[in-house]
Amino acid sequence: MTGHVLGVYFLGHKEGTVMIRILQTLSICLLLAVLVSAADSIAPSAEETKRVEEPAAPLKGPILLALNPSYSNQAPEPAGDAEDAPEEQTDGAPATEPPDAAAPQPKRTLSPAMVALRDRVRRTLEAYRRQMLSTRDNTATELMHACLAFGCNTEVYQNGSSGKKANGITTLCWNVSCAGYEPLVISDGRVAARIGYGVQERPSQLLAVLALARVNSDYPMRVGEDVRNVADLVEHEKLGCRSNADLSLTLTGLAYYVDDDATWTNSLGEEWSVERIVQQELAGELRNVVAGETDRVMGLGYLLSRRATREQPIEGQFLRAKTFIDQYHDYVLKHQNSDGSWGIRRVSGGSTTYDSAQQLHATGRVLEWLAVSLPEDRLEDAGVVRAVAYLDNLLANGRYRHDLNSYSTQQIGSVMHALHALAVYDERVFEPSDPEPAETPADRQAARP
Amino acid sequence: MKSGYACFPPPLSKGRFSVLWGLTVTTAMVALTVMADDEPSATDDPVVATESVDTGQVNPADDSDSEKEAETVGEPLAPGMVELMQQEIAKGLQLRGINSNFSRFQSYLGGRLNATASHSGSELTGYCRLKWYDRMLRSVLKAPSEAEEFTRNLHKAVLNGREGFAEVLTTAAEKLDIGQHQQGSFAEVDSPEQALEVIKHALTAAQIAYAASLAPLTKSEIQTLRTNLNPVFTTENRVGHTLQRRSSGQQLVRVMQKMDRESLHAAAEALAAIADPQLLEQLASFPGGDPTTVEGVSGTVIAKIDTPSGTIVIGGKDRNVYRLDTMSGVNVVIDQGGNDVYYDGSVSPQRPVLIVIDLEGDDAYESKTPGVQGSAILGVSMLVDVEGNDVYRAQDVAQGSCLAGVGILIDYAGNDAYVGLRRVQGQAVGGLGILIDHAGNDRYHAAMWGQGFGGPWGFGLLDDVDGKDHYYGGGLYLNSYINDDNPTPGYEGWVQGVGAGLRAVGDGGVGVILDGGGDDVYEYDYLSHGGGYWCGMGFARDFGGNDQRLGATRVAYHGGPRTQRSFQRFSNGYGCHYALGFLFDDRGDDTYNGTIMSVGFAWDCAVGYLCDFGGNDRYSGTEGNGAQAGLGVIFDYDGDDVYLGSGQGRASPSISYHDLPQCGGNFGFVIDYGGTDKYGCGARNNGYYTRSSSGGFLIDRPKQTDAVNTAERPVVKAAAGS
Repeated sequence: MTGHVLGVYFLGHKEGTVMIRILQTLSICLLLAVLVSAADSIAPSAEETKRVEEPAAPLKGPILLALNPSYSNQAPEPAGDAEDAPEEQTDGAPATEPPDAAAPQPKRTLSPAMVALRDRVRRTLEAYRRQMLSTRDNTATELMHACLAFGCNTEVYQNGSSGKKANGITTLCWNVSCAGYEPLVISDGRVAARIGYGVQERPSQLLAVLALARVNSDYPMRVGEDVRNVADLVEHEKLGCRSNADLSLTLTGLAYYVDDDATWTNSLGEEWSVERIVQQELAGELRNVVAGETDRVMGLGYLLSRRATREQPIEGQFLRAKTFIDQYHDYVLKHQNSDGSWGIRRVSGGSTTYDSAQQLHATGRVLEWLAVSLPEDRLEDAGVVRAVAYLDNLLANGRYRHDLNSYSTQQIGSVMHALHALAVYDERVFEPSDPEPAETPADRQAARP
Repeated sequence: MKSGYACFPPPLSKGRFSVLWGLTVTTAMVALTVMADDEPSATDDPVVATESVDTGQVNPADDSDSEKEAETVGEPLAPGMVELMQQEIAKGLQLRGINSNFSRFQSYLGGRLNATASHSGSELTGYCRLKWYDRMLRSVLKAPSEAEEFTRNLHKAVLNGREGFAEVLTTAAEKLDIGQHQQGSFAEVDSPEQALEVIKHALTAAQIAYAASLAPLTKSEIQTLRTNLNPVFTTENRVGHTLQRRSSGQQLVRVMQKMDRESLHAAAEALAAIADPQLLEQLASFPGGDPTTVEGVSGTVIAKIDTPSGTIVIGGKDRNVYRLDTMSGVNVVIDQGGNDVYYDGSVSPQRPVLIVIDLEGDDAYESKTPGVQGSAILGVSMLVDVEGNDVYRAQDVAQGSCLAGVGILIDYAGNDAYVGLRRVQGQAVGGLGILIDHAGNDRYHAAMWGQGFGGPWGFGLLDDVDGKDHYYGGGLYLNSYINDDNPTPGYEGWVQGVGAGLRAVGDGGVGVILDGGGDDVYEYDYLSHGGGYWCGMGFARDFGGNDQRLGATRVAYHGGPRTQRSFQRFSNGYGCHYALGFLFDDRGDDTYNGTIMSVGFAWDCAVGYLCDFGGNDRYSGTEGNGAQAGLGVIFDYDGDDVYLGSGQGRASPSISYHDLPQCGGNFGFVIDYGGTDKYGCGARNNGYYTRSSSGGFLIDRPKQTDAVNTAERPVVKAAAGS
């Protein structure tokens, strides 16, 4: 368990800096190990099927813990108590760690313009993070979108905005009814995410969200009295792989949870592997990427990013995928609008008009994919930065700033994917310039109200 | 009096089609003598003229592809006959020098379409307007060809298994402006396990697509639809032309307009694989396991399979009783046999997709709940019954019907009875409503809005492939004209191939009724049988048999005597208020009955066509009239026909709804080829008459075989080479 957490921690950092960060934050790791050991004693296992208490909020990694120390596996209660309200801890400022005298200096320096952009992005992220969805009004699909944006830090209201707060991922994994829809079911003896209106609206949507939030595979999932874990969901998804099916989100999920060289047998007795999924995805039709239809390239891009992080070889189908994705990077940047957006713009009577909702959807999805899949040395390309600024401006000044939970699933999805794009960009571009967190148990305790 | 005919028949062609059809001329020069003194009405303007006109390319079989296609269903030469009719109309207008009037009429229609295309607060809201409708009304002379092709191909698709069913859906998508869809491929099903896998896949795909269809709506909009769709569109109403709560109706169609209709259609497409006889055959031998119990089911259940997309229940070969609405979480019911009973079967927020497959036995489907028996209110539902003499009994929104959803009912065999009230039997508002019955002598019974009815954003289809069928629609709700200044008795109908909008709410959709064969009886009341109303389009086609179309139902809905005097208004190829209606009958000795404003009739910027391609037929109604800027047409090919009444081919010279000459006037046509016909107006065979105004035509011509018999007529010989 400890080793796994360490792994998670490492993978939560930028590639190429792992060793340095190990040394710099060794103390945090040790602390985490202690905490997780403690958590092991309370976390339900697959055998403990009678246990029905909600688990602690999922552990993403030290960065998120640093941003919101209330999320640790030490917490015996769901991270939804009103007193855990993040805004009370951060005074509305972007989630940042207090500088520590012992913390190392930033490895890189941002330009003033990038600093300004960073601050704007973080303000936007924080503002939207406070617009919590609720289990009374919002479906599980919408919660999944929110969890995509804010990962393990997602908070939702239980039973309306006057209710208690709960962790978003815990809510989903604990099968809490959302707008009347329970997201999980036991199918073929394994935990599965329901498919349909109000629940998982794409196959493997929940798995992909858990993967992108880097939730541990032993994180518990409950259906009624039956408590399983994320690994059980992974097994279900592996059994459900099918020829000619859309496996883009499955690929995103399995890229995180399955060793890339593993093979398995689906429920029809067919042998599958990540490489086979890649091959199938490459053979599928790809359209409207610049309009925001990015699921397929997202799955492939995320997989390649994972392989690079793991320093695994890029060959065979993976090489084909890399060539394909590289070309698509150039393609979408070439088809970017001059203001940094993607999506159809109509020129009429000498003026350009566009639908902001469509623009938000397209730009958010495309930037999300780029932020996840571009190599580091391209993340500060002018086009990418322009897109970040455009998206931030759209979110900061658009109509979704208020009462987000009353919007349609489609609109909430667009907003959350756009926020995810900004969050990933923040993590990959801005955070490495932040002072390193150097928490002590006392700091973390003090962070609790 | 001198008989008025000329150039009958046209020059004999030595081409391959001449033996099939005496009028397969290509560039024949036809001299037409219009003899006004034959006209029976004093109000008819006498015109005496001999004119020579080039009939142009009349040969209907020049296109070998269309000939090949036409071999399979109905009259193979129907496309050519329709083309001939169109040319006859065009030449008639030219002959009388009223082309400019007709051009004004056509452009006036276009202008009205332009003026009402977007919401301006008028009764013509412009909501839900379909591009196909718009195009057809802008091209009223070519519209019948497209209508003929559409109905023929649709029926051919229905005959062609799962691929054909997918083609039906593709066609519907195109007509509903949902875009060009490519049909997916289907896997061959060789085992029960594969069949189950296909069902699972279809369920998942339908669930995903349905969810996507609602994604653009807010929760409050979804709730508005759930709460109001059925009361506003159905239960509160007792007349068909509008809604009791029009502003609520407008609000609902605006919300429906926001739905992702392409995804909703994808949900229907996902279910196409289930319409596969091979799959259904394999399901019958699914082995199952130990019997289990399921809440809401009595009888043997051999399998209960929980999937992420919903639970699948498989019933055994003995009798089962399914109370579908108490089977929570069950999205698929497969029954292998026995005389089963199914109660209810509505979709709900928790179960938006429902699939019921009954493989054998004489089954009863019973419900008083709306949205049942392959029907959905805000959801997706499919019911497939493979064998047996089945009874479907319901009230509203039932038997292949939908309100903002997809409802599909396919019955493969047996003598079946379908009984419902409103919005039933291939009815759609905001989606697809399809009822296909492949065989047996069937009975359809409805009161209003049914049997191939398309409301706003709707594509409603009823296709009965074979058997001697009886369709009944009406007999319950008093018609809306009953309180007019000039009231007429009778009941509301709105059945049998009607596409109708709702005044002050939204434009109409596409309604289609097709019948493949057998001697059928159609009973109907007001605004029924191959008609369009309020910016909608309706199509009725019967491909074979001696059919009776009985305008005004003979008994009341519940079976007792009518309380209203027998009277029927608008039927048999009619258009009323910016609408188009088409009625085609391919074969057999048929009757067409309406009381007024019926039988190839158009009213108020509308078009109505009735085309009969063969047999000795009998017409009773207004018969080929246009009024208030309308084009009404009867075209009859072959047979000894009887036209009762005296109004054949009239076009009133006066119009009060629109300004003359801007609107172009009225146009009425009765065009009869072949046979010895009788006209109530006194017209003779082989004559060419002006009726009421220069826009009124009664044209009777011989067909080739008749022409051979009359070839000695001097005028024929004289004209042949001219």
